[in-house]
Amino acid sequence: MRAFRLLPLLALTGLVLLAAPASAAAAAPAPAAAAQDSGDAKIIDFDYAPRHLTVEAGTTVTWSNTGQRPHTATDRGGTFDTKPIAPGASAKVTLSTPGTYFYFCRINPAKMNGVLTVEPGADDARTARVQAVDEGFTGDKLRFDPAKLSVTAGTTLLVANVGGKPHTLTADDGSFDTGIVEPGAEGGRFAGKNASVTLNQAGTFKFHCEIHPAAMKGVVTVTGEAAAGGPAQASAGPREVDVGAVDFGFEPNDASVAAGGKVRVTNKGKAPHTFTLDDVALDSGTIDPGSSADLTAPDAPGSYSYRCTIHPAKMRGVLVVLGRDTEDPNAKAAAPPPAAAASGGGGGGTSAGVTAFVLATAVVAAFLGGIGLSAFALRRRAAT
Amino acid sequence: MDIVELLNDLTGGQLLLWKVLLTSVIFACAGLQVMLAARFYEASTVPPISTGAASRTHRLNGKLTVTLAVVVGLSCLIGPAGPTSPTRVLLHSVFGSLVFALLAAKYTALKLRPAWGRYLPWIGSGLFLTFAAIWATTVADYVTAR
Repeated sequence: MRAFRLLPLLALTGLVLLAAPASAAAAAPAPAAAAQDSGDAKIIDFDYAPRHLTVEAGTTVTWSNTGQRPHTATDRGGTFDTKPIAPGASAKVTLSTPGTYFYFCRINPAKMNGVLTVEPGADDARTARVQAVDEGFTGDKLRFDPAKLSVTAGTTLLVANVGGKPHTLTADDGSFDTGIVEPGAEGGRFAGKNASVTLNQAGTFKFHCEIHPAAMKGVVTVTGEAAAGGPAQASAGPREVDVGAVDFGFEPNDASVAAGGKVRVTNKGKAPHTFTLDDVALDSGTIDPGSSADLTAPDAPGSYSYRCTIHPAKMRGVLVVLGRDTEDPNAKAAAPPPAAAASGGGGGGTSAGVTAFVLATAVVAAFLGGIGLSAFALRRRAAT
Repeated sequence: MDIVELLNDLTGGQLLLWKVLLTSVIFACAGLQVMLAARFYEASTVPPISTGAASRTHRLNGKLTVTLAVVVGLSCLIGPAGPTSPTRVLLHSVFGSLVFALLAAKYTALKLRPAWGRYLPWIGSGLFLTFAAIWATTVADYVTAR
């Protein structure tokens, strides 16, 4: 009985003892966990299990959402995005570029962060990923990841900005330069951009970030000679994409196209519209109903938000410009299986039940607590 | 084994749902605590039971409430906790910490400083209101976001 009386005190003591290490563990963006070779990962509310997954290049990673809310697995460097995965559903992404991928849930970017390590497979990938890391939203240090790498001539370096600041990857001798790779919006809260350079000349090249030259340095060793025919194809993405402007939205509002590809915008509505990129000087001008406009996509791979300047509140979208071996988020996202959709429908009933329960308990709490608080207040008033 | 994964497995993949339900139960228990306290302080005649029975029920219900609060609080610290952003999470963390600060004050008044007993109604009322704030910054968000 005495032990029972002490239960709250014991529990409080346990809480205090556990709070410090637990908080530290929770604050870490992606603690190193046991790496796995499997391409399967679970999403739970609000975490990835495992948080650190290691696979071979060419592996298809499947994220299964076992939680109660929709989540995404989104590359902080902007090369893949599963789009929201409904509870019970899953999404697959095939990763062909070796390197480290910081990924996160763009619905819960503060809570859900994971690390995916793609190791070179049996085949020569001819693409390698380098992450530009800063404190951004993961609290990391300024650095390139990896800072030292060895590739064969003709390999393309995909430079992904996974931080909250702009970066470049520039050869000390000026032989290659990505230009500025923009970070994700809101200081890295959202996915950043990426850029690529192809290394054809053998040798050892030191590189740095033009914006953070003291902290961000690295070296790449290029071996062999470039394959005949020069660098591989610029992009696996479609050379042309059609976007419809309707009253009032874009169809689709998340299109993908190869770098430098053609974007044809057709106004299928009754009101005039425009197709205007937010951050790049690319604007269709006013497109009258029934008319079309052709635009040339930017050369730099990345995600570009666009809008209709006449109806900016309603008409927005994202154009993904695909670089070489850049995963196409619009093509790779797996549709939820019918079973998942069915369970989602069942979840609606559960959701309504939960809502009713929590609201009912809140009303009860307010009622009971209100009686007590009122009684104390009235007694105090009577006493004075 | 990862603790978050363990908790998730224990709750059948519905850790968040269980936390929401328990938080609501804790809130209701906190309301009952205030009402019972008002009864055994003879500030109220509701519920119509003796002050002794109200006191005993208050203690039992208090132990249950604190135990549940510790369980939920631990799962918050170990599991979904993260950076103090957005503001809702920051406020939730502040109120969550405040609950245990108030509980510490209450136990101090009960066990170590009997003279502080006159502050117990204030501390208890503060606890109830803090539980209300926690409920508002977590359960309300969960329900409205679904």
